[in-house]
Amino acid sequence: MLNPIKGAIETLLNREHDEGGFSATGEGLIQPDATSWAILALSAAGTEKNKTHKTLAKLVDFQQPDGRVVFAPRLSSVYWVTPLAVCAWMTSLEFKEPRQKAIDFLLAHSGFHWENETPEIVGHDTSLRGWPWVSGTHSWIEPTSLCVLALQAAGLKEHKRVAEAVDMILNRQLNSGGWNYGNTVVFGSQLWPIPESTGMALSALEGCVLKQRIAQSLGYAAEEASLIRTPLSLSWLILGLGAWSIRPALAREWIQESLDRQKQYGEYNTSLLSALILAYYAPRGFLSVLEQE
Amino acid sequence: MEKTGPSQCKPTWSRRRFIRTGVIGGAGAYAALAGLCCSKTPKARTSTFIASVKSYQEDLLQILLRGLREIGVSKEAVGGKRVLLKPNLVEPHLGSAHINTHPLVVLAAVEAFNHFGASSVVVGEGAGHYRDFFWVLEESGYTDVLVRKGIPHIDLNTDSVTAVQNLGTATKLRALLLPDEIMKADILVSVAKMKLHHWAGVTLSMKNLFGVMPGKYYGWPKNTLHLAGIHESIMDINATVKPYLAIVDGVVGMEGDGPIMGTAKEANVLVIGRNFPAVDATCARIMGIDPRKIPYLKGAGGLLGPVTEEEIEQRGELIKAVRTDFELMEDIPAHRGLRL
Repeated sequence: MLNPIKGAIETLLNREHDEGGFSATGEGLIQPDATSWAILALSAAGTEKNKTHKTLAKLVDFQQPDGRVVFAPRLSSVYWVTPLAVCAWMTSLEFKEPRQKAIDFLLAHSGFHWENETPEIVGHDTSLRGWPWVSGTHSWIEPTSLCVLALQAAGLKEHKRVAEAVDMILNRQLNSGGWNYGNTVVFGSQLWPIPESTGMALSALEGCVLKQRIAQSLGYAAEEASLIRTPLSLSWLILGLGAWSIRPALAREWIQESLDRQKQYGEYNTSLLSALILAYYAPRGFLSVLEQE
Repeated sequence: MEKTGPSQCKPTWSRRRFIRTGVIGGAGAYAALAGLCCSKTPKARTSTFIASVKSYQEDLLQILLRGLREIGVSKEAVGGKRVLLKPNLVEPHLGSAHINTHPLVVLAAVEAFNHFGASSVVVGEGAGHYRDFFWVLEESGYTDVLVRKGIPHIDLNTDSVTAVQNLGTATKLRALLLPDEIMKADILVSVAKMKLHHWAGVTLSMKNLFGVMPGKYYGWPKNTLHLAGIHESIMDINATVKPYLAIVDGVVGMEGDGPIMGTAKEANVLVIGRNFPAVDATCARIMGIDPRKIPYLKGAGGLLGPVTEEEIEQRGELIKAVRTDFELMEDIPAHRGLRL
C-alpha cells in the first residue's frame, strides 16, 4: 500500500492539466490558487523542475497588465492570490518579469485604512496598512501574512511595507495568544483565535520579531496542532511552529492522519492537499521551501 | 393549507430557471421578479409556524414534519427535487451550541426532506470567519451527527461559481457570484440560528444567507458585502437566490453580543415558514424585538414579504406564549431602541 504522503503527491501530479495548471479537483477550470499551491508543494517534495515548468507558465495567464493575479479578468478586485503566485514563481529561475510585476503591484496597493476614532467598538489600530482579500476592503491577517511571506521570499524583508505589515499583524495579536481573522476586541469582547490565521501570522513574523513577543501565540499554536487534524489548520499550524524552530516531533504522523481523513470527507481539493504536502516537507516553515531555491 | 403571500405566490418557473435567467438576461430577469413575486405589499396573510421545543433531544423530525405540513410543504412540492440546507456555522467552538445551528436540527431537516421524497439533500455552508471547512464541521459537531451518516456536505466558500444579475436594488452590486451548488438546488432552505447581532441587530433566516456567498470572492468575513451595506446585502441576496423555506433554531439562541460572543438564551422554539421576512419578523417578536426597527426587515416589508403582525398568520404556538426577551446591549448601536 502506498505511503499516504506519496499517494498525495501522486494524486496531485495526476491532477495537472495537460496544458499545465491545476483546478480544484482535477476537473473543471484551472485556478491560480490551486496552481500556485501545487507548484509550492511539488517544489517542496523535490519533484523534477520540468514537471512544473508549463504550470508555472500557465500561472502567467492569470496576471493582469498591472501585475495583480486574479481568478478572472472580470474579477480584478479579487487579487489575494497574487502573493501565492509570487511564491510559486520564486521556485524557478525563470518568470522574473511576471514575478516582479506582481511584487510591484503588491507594494503599490493595500487594504482600506482609516484612523480609528471609535476604539470602544473595534479595538485594533485600523490605520496600519496590510492587504485585503478584496480591493477596497480592510486588511486582514491571512492576506497580509501571505503578502509578507511573498515579499520576504523576494528579499524585501526590510521594505517599509513589510515593516508596517508586521506592525499590523502584531497589533492584531490577541492578548491571550493567537490571531482571529483580523479583529481583536469588538464592543469590549476579546474574540477567539483561529488556528489557520494563527499559523499564517506566525509564518509571516518569522525573523521579524523577538520570540518573546509571540510566546503566547506559539503556545496556542502548539496546543491546537496537537488536537487538530483538518488539513488547512494543521498545515498552517505546523508551518508556523516550524518557522520558529518548534515544529512538533509528531508533525509528519499528524499530517498522515489528516490525509487519512479523506476516507471520511472525500478527496481534499488541490490547495488543501498541497498545503499538507508542503507542511510535510518544510520542517523549517513556509519560507524555508523558497530559501532552498 | 397553503396561504397566498409573497413567497407563496406560485411562479410557473422553477427556482433554478428563475436564477438562471439572471445569468443570461438583464432587464428580463428583473421584470420577472417584479411580475412574479412581491412587487406590491401583499394583502393576503402568510403563515408562520412556531413549535415549542424544550430540548434538542425531543423528536425534532416529527416536530418539523408537522410544521412543514402546517405551512403547506408537501411531497408534491418536494418530491424529486434537489435540496440544499444552509445552516449557520459562522464560527464554531466546541461546546458553544448557542453560536451555530444545532446539528440535530439539520439532521431532522435532512430526514424530513428525505421523507418528502427529495432526490438529494446536501448541507452547504460558506462559513463567515473560518476558511477551514472541515474544522468547522468537526468543531460544530456536524462531523459526528451528519458526515458520519454519509450526508453530503459542501464548502460554499470554495465551490465553483456563476455570476448572476443582482435582482435586488438595495446595494450597488450589479451581479452576485453564486456557488454552483446553490444554482443547482431546486430548494434552498435557510436553517438559521436565533441570535442578536452587533452589526445587524438580529441574525435569523435572511442574514443567514450571507453564508451562501463564497468567501473566495467576497473575503472573510464577507468583506465586500459589509462594504456594500449589511442590511442592503441581506435584501439583495434574498431577492436573488429565491430561498424556499426558513427553519430557525431558537431552542437555544444567543442574546447580548452576538453573533459570536453573546450568551446562550433558551427561547425553546423552532420557527418555520416559507416567507422569510415573515419568519424573521415572528422570530424578532419572540425575542422581544420590534421587527420594524430592524433596517433589513423594514426594507423587505412589502417588497419581499410581510413583517406586520396582521399580515402573518401564526400557527402552532402563539407569540405571546413563547416570547422571551433577549438581552440587548445599550453600548451596541444596532441594539438601541429595538425593544418591542
